[in-house]
Amino acid sequence: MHGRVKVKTSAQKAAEKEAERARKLQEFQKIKKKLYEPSESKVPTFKQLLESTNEFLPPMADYLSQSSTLAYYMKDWPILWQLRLTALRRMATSKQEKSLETLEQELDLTFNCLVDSPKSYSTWAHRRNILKLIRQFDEEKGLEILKTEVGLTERMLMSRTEDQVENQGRNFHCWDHRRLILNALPQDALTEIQLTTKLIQTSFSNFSAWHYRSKLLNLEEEGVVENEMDLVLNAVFTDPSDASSWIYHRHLISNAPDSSTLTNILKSHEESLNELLELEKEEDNNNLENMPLAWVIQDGLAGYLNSLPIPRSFADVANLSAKDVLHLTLFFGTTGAGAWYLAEKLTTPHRQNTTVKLGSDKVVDTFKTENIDGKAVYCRCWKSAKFPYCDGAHNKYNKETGDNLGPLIIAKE
Amino acid sequence: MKSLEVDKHVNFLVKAATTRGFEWEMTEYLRMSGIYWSLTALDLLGQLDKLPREEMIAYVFSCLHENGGFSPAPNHYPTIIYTLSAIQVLVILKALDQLGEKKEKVIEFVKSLQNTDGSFIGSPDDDEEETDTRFSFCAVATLKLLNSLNAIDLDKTVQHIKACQNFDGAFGVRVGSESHAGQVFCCVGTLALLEKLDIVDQELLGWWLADRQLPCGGLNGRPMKKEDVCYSWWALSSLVMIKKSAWIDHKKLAEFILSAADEEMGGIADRPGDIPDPFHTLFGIAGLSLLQYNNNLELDISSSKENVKLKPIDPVLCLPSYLLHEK
Repeated sequence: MHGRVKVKTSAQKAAEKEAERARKLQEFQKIKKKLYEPSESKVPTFKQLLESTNEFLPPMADYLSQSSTLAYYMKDWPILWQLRLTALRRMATSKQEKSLETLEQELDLTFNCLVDSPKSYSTWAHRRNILKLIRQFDEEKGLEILKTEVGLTERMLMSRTEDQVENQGRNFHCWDHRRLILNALPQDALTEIQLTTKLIQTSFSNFSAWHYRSKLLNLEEEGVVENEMDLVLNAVFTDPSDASSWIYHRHLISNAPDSSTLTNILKSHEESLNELLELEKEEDNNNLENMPLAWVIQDGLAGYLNSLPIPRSFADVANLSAKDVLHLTLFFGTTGAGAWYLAEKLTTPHRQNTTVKLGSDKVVDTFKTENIDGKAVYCRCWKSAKFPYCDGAHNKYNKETGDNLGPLIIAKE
Repeated sequence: MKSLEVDKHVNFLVKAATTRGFEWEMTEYLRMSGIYWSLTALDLLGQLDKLPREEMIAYVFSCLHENGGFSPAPNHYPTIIYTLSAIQVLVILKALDQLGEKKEKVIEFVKSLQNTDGSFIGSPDDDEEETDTRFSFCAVATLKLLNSLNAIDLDKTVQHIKACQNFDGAFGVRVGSESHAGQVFCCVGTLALLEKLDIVDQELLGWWLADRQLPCGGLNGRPMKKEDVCYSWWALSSLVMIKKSAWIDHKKLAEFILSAADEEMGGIADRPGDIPDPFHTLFGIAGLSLLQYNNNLELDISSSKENVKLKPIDPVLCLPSYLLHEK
């Protein structure tokens, strides 16, 4: 559903495509009937066979091999993998001949499917199930395969798929897979940090690698902040328009323990930033929307060094001038149009009513005082579930926002 | 700004839902969600009656299993994802009462999927480490619609979501996973339903979400990724939930969504020039609805019928608001 480009075709090509689809469809429907779709035929479906017994019957091996080609069509179909897993588990439990070989073939199958569709949730999960099954069947072999698996994830993260421009280094399925596998192996944070360093040095915009680093490193530890600052400043100098390194940069500045070291690092980079700034200014035409981040870094950086408070949150921002806000937002690495409008929109009034009669152009309630019996309490915060009457929702709202809204009470003497 | 061509989109949605060809066959594994996307989009456009209600209800019940879970299609296995979609479909079609006693079974099914650490697996018999914050949202949203939130351990649910929070204020699939706007929607949505949004660093997350907007106006799902119309929902509704939707450019986003509409066959694609599908059609229209009702964006709605309006959508449950707020 994602990334399918609409290509104009001639009538003939369109007809050819239709014919091809019709062929595929027929083939697919035939195999579906074998797998799980009940029909009048006396031959049980694979699913029916699995549900009829707890043993691993001969036809199951046939079904497994027949349905392996289907995997390419159906790799996003959990039912395909679930049926295969059930059969394979049964095979392993009853210690069938060639169980291990069959399981390893299943690994090959999922590998080929993943090369084709590296983001298929159910394929990744199935692969993990097979890895577990192998380990249950043969612990030693299983662990050995897990170690190889870790290496495979690194290969994938470092690769580019053939027909895609996309860098597999951002494939979160692969990253999560690696982390899950590692749960079963001895912890080795150093290798993981080195992997992220390798990936970042290949491509600074690898946010997945920066993210993992944020989990692996403790900013309180000696030397860590300096090292990270070095790495991230290297990244921002190389490509000031990359969003990933700026987000990590902001994280460091916000969470690093206060130190003269941090200030010194930033001071020493100020000069380089000025040079970069001059270069960027020459290239660009003062177009704010395309403003390279380095351009405004200088202002923000200078501000930081002059003890302008770096707001931890926008709540603090209310105390700064609009210019300062703009500079600080850009300093912290917000990219593109969002940054400019972010500063502007901070002062745009926000809609109040998000729950009551939203289809109405104007919500008006009218009451006559003679109809009020003693006292009536009306909502003024627009959050009441019993609108127009108060139900106390203003209490929760005030707590969330620091506001001081309350109801309107009309009381007769 | 282009106008929202209601008639074209309605035709596209109806065609996609009723044509029994290649696309229909190939999407069997997600059909229950496909029905939910189509119905919600049609309802937002005011034309729910274009699809056969009784047939849809019958389909939903044909996918209800003994254990209380719903599968995407008959003969497939039930999961939490299609259970939520099924309940959402019944809500839209005002047929939730037809569940009757089976409602308890559905609640049991959802409950059975929660791990001791508060996370959720997707189907019974899944390994306990196969969790996903999408499943947390599906579980909590299902129970919310069935008025039975207390069936699960809510504190642990929240604890697990908190554990999935990252340095950037956003959330990922599991503990340790990279932040992703889709997962952010699921986590923030779960917290919103459980009234625990105080867990979120709303300024930090708001920033990360606002950062999703690219110069073309569209939103992406993670830093340095391509824009995609569906993030007009995942990222935008998250911003609405934490009350930071002012932090993006609404007009540019709307223009981007409308430019991804297919002029010929109707429907909306993931980005301009690509093939449309019901999924992106729903989330594009849902995004436009949020922009209209939550951010006062003026939309031009064009239709051959008179007085066609876009309906407001609930940012948490992704259902037309009228179904949830009026009794």
